[in-house]
Amino acid sequence: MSKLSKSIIQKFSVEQKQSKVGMVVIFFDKFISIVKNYAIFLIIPMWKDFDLVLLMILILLIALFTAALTLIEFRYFTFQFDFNKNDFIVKKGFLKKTKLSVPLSKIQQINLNQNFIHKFLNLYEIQMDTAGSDSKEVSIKAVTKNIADEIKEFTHILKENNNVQSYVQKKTESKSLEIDFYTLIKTGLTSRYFQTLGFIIALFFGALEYLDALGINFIPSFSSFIKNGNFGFIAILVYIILIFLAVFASNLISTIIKFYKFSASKTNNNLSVSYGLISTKTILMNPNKVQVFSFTQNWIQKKIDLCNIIIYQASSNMNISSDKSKEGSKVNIPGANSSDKKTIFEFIYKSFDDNELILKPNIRKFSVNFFLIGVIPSILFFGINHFFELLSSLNYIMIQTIYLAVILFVSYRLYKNNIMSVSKNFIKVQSGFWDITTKIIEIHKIQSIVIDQEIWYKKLNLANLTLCTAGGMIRFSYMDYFILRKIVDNFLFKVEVSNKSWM
Amino acid sequence: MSKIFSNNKILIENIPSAENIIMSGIEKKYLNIMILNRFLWCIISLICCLISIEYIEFLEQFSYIIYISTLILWAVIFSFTGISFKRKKYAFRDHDLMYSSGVIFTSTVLIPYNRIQHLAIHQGFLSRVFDLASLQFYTAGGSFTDISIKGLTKMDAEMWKEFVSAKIEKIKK
Repeated sequence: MSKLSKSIIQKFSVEQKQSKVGMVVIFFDKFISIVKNYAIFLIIPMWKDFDLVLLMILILLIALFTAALTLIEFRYFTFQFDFNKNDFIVKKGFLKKTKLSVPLSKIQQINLNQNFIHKFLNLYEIQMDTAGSDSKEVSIKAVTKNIADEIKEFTHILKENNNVQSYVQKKTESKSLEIDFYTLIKTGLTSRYFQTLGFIIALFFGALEYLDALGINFIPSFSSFIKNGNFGFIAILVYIILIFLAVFASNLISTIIKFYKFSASKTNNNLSVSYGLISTKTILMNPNKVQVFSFTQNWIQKKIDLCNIIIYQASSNMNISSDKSKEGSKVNIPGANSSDKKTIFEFIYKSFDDNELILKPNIRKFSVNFFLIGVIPSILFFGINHFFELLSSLNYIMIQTIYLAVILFVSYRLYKNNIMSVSKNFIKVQSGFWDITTKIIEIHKIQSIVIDQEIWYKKLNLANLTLCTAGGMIRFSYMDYFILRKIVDNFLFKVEVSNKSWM
Repeated sequence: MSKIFSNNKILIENIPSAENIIMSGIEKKYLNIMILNRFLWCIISLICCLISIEYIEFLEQFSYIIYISTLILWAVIFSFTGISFKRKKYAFRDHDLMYSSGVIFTSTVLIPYNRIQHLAIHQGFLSRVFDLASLQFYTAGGSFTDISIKGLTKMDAEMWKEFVSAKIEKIKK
C-alpha cells in the first residue's frame, strides 16, 4: 500500500480551478456544439424565402454570444476533494449554484479525454463515470496533464487503502495490444461496405434535394444525364468502379481518423483503450461491466484473419436512448486477429466452455425473407414496368433474374449463417449474410426474456426469442417452440440460482 | 434433434417449466377502461377526418373512402378489444414473474426477481375512477422489456408490490 503525499492532500483540499488556458477549450467546445445544434435551421431556406448567408451569420453570432457566457461559468467552476469523507466535490454555477458531491466508492471509471484543441494545448478532460440511474456525471473540462495524473493517482490509492474494489487505472501495465497502421488500412478496406454505400447514397440524394431547394437546379441536368448518358456495358462498369472507390476511400479515411494509434492495455482489473487521430479517446473498461461481446467478420476478413470487435458495457443511462451515452459504453476494437480476439475474450470472461448445444432456425426464415425482399418487390416492379413500359422485355427479364438470384443467395446466406449455440455459461448468436456478426452474452447477465410469436406461426410451433442485457439484446427467430421453452426455463433457472452480479 | 438429447447435462431436467403455469387474467373492470380509451381514440380520429376533409380541398373527392375506412378501422379496433383483454395475463412465481399480451403478435416477458431494479404503481385518471392501478417493473435491460401489469385493483397492486419487494429484499441478503 502506498501513502498519499502531503502536498497532494494540501493541494486538493482547497478549491481548485481549471487551467486558465482551458478557457479556449471550453469556449470552442460550446461554440462548436451550438453551431452543430443550430445547423438544422439551415434547412429553412428550403421552403421559405430566407437568406442563407444571413442565417449563417445569425447562428454564428448566437453561438459566439452563448460561448462567451460560458466563460463566466468557467470562473465559478471549482473542484476539490474531501479527504475526511472521501467525497469528490464540484461547485459550479453563477446564477444557479450547484454543489455536486460524489462519493469515491460510487465512481466507476475515470476517463481522460482529449479532443483536437486539448491536444494542441496539452490539456485533458476528466470524466468520472458513476453507477446508478440517478447519477449525475461529473466532468472537468480542462486541466493540465499534471493535475489529471494526480487525481487518477490519489483516487486509486484511496480506493486501495479503503479496500474498495478499484476501478481506477493502475500505473503498471502488464500486457498491451496495438493495432498498427497497416492493419488499420486492411480493416478500412474490408469492412462496412453496405453501411457506407447506403450512407453515400443518402448523402448524395440529400445534397441534391438541398441544392434544388436553394434554387440551384441540378435535377434536370442529372435526369438528362440519366436519359441521354452512356449506359453501355463499359460505362456501367466504370460507374460501379467509381462507386466502389468512393466507398473504399471514405471507409479508409474514417477508419484511420477514428482509430489511429489504437492501443489497448491490460491492467489488473481493467482494459484501457485509447485511439484517435484528431481527438484521442481513452476508455477504461471493467470486465464485470461487459454485457455483450460481439465480433464481425466477412468473407475477405476471414481469409486474412481479421475481425472487428465491439464490447458493450452496461451504461448507467440505458433508458435515455441518446447516442452519446451509448457511444460511451461501447468499446470498439478494429482489426483484431484471432489470437487478439482470444486474449481479449479470455481477459473478460476468464474461460470459455465448448460443450455447446447448437440450434438452427426453421427453414421459414429462408422462405419468408425470400418472399419479403425478393418476390413482393418483383411483383411490384413487374406491375410498374408493365404499366409504364420502362424497360424492354429482354432487359426486364435479365434484371429480374439477376435480382431474384441475388436475393435467393442473400436469403440463403441469412438462413445458413443464423446459428444460436448455448453452453454452460454462454449464449452465442451468429447472423448476417456478408458481415457475419457473432454476439456472445453470459447467461447470468440476462435481465429479462421475451418470447414472441405471430399468430400464424402458432400452428407451426414457431416462436422468436429475445434476451435482454443491460448492454443490448440478442434475438433469435423462427425457433421450435418446444425447445425454446426448454432453454428459456434453463436460462431462468441459471439466472435465479446465480450469485454472480451482472455488473 | 439428436444434438439436443446428447446434451441433457446442460438442459437440467425437472426445472419447473414456465409452460404449465396457469396465468391469471386482469380485472374485469379494466375492460371498461379499454373500451373508454378506444372510444376516445375513435372520437379524436373522427374529428381529424372531419377537419382534414373540410380544409384540404384535395381530399374532398375521397371523402367516402376516408369515412368507410375509418369505420372499418373502428370495427376492427372494437372487435379486438375483447380478445386483447383476455390475452393480458400475468403470473407471479417463486423466482420470477411473467406477463403475456397481444392478439396478432403475442409476447411473453419473463423477469427474474433478482434482476428487478425498482417497481412502481401508476394510477391514471380513469384508473382512479374504477379503483384500478398498474404495477410496473423496471430492469436494467431497457424500457423495451419492462413489464407493466395494467388493470389490477389498487389493493392487489399494493399487495403484489409488497410481495415482490419482500422477495427482492430477501435476495439481496
